[in-house]
Amino acid sequence: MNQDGLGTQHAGTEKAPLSARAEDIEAIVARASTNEEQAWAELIGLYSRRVYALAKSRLGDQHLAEEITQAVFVVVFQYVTDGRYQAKGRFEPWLFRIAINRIRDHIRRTTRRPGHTHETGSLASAPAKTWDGHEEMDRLRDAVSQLPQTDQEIIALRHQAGLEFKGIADLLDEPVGTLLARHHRALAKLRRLLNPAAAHENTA
Amino acid sequence: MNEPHENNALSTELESLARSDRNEPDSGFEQRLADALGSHEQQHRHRRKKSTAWIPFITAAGVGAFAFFWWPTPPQPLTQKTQTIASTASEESITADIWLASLDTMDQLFAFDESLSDDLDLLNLQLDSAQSYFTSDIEWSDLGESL
Repeated sequence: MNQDGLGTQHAGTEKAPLSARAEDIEAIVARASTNEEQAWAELIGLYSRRVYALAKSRLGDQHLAEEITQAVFVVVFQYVTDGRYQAKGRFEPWLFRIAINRIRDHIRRTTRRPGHTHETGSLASAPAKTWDGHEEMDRLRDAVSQLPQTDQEIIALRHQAGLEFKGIADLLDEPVGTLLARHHRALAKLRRLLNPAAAHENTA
Repeated sequence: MNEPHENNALSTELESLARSDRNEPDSGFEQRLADALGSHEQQHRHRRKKSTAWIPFITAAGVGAFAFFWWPTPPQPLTQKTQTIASTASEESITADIWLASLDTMDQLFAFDESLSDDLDLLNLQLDSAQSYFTSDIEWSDLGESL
């Protein structure tokens, strides 16, 4: 499925988020609540890879990312089919909140283990070398993993999950302006991590 | 390079990374998810159908009922246990029954009691004499008044 196909072009310098229109999503969710197989296939097509990418970027493990994606969809399935889904018009932030909570839980559980050495950064701090020859990608992944958790989360929600800032603000219960500023700062930190020499020149 | 331009370039790189992550799962990824949802639904339905939560309650109720009806009562040391082998109805009820049964039976009963028989004979005698008296001197209407 073309992940970018449903995307609405977002004005500004950023790449387009992948969000579909809320009304379209709610129509699909309404069909999914009656256990319509096709509606679930559409929801899976729209969101599963975005949830996977979010989990993968935060946890750095393919199997874990798939496991979390499955767990998220099972929860979504339970809520939608049982009639407990109450976030009318905000399906996307709701779904990604479930995802981010799962990921946070996992990180919390893992970092509590004795002998765990990741003081900062996520579990993705040792990136899986899945792209042979893609050194730039690995370097970028490594740099992202060195950012503070909150910055990593914003980067992942914005780019990996493809959410609009409004959606992220809804999800994290923060004003859009604050998020824009934090995202901007996170990018600046990332730039410095990727190019320490240039950063040193700027400060000098 | 100015900052917005650098941010744009970095965003483009992050988008490429994200696209790569999203394309990482194989083609069966979505199907596996759909299967997971399907199996979850089946499990859920199965669990709801075959709920066994009622078993302990029903068992306890059954055992309780059995114990209530069938458990032998322990002997009470301070109460005298009597056992009725045979019984008769009370005297009053017999008399009443006899009166109701027939006059013949009543005659038989009187025949056994001599004093009662004598009383009856005397009563018969009085009735006979009274009858002859009524027919001779007193009108029947006077008898009503005297009674």
